[in-house]
Amino acid sequence: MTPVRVTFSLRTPMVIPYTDKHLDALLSWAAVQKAEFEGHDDPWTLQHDIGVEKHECSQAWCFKAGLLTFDWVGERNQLHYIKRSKLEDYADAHMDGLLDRRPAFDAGRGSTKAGSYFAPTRWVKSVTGFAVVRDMHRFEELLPWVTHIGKLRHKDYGAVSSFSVDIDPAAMHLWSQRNLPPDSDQATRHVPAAGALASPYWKRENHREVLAFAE
Amino acid sequence: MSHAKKYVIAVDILTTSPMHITAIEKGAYDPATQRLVRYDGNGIGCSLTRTQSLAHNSRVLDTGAIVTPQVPVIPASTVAGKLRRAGTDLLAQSLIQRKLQISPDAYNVLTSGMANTELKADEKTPEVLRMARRDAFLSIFGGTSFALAAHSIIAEGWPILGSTVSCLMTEPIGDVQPFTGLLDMTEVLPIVRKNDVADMEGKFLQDVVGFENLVTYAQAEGASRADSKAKKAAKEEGKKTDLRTLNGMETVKTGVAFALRVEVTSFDPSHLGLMLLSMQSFLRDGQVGGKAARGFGRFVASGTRLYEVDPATRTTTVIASLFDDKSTGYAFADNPVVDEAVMAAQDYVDSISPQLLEAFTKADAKTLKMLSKEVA
Repeated sequence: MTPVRVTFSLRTPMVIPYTDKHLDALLSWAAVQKAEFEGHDDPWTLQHDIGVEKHECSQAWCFKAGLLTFDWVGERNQLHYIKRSKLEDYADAHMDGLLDRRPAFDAGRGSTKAGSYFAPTRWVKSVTGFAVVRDMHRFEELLPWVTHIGKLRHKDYGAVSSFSVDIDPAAMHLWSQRNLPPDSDQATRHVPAAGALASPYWKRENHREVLAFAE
Repeated sequence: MSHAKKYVIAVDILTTSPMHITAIEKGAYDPATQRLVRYDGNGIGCSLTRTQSLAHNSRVLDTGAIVTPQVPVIPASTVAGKLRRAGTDLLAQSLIQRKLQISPDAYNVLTSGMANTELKADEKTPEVLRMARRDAFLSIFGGTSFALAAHSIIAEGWPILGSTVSCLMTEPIGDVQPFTGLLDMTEVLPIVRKNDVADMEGKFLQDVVGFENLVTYAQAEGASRADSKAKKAAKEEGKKTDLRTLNGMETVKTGVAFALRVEVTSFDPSHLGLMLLSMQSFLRDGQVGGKAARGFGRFVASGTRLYEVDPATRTTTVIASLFDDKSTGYAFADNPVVDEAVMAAQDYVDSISPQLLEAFTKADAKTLKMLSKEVA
């Protein structure tokens, strides 16, 4: 059992998350990316193989990995981007004989609907998380695969430029600043809420009663 | 055993005409003082070009005010759209030559990533994901009814400055430019719309329109303008009546360098190759942003490079220079990695199957399973 503090530095602004982010979520994502890159048949089966200790209760478990904290810099900005299909492209494709039937084009609805999207972004000096590590080798081999934090990774937002891992005894209690099982004895400033205990956190089917950390 | 590799395609470009990529915010330009105010102020309306703030480079003045530098950027979504369309065109040309057809929905998947508004992201089985990883286009651009993740990262095009070097995926290929902010890199150009009929301009105007009609037009316009002025004076909502307008447009000056960076996870050489062919097509087009008909947004590549990334350490190694200069049509430089990738991509393009595209379009897992067995 090694208590650690992980600090990420970013080289691009990140999309401000609208929910709390757990350190183990980043590692699970990294585990899937690594497995996929290495040609694993079903990378998702490795999402919980992240080398972090588990906190097991009678009803459920969670990783001993806390919420990420963000050291923000400057004001928030609105990233604006649009989705737009060009009528001319469809007309050309039809005239060239590419399409098997006449296309319907409507920029107001359906699949060719134009869209205007916003994402709040902000620069961040560092992102910190605490964890109690069971398998340091596995933990450290996954960290370089955490290439981005937050949404719009495919647009290079929230790109990680470097990270550091330090042994920090404070992690022995700070890991519990996260979603905990309802019968956990580690709850301090926690309140009952609905959420997930392990990745994928976004998946509605994983949501259940938890004790969420209230700052 | 996987043969996957990660690469970064690095292209530095140089604007050869003014460039404008419209931001949603508006500004005001005062021609008397030649001052552009972001975002509200006195003066004529001015479209702003897209910018990013560099909050990590903010400085505090003696007065306590915080100054956050802003720089113009080429948005990642603009570059991604160009590359995806270039890739689509390559596949479309191959299908047309082979007299094969696809549905409008499948075409929609290629150009925009979406077949329709109904996503079936939860129906992604490991088999579906494996099939998608095998296909060059779907792997690097993603999308479809399965909401597949793209295995490419297309970065914002940052200007190459001392203050932005740390934002880039890989170091600049050419020199860092000495600009310090928006004032050095942008200028406001006037966009004038005339009304030749009201101004009685045009050699044959009277012959074509007729004197009587011109008088009637002038009277109607005058009355309409008087009505609008009266409404304005009474603080009611008046309608704009004059076709003549003078607006400003903020543009990036000629001679500003931007860094375009694309990371590709290549599960097969054809994946890297397809992105290279798409990039080549984008460079040959040589235009980005709005007002293309006015000649805006032209650029040339000033330096290109291919890197391999070691994902375990995130270190990058230069493999080769990628393209020759514009005079060669950005021909690929001689290199075994590039040659293999481009040849594999050309084979892929020549054999793209409408059946596979339709199966992904309709989220038809059964057909994909059958096709998967055929491939195996």
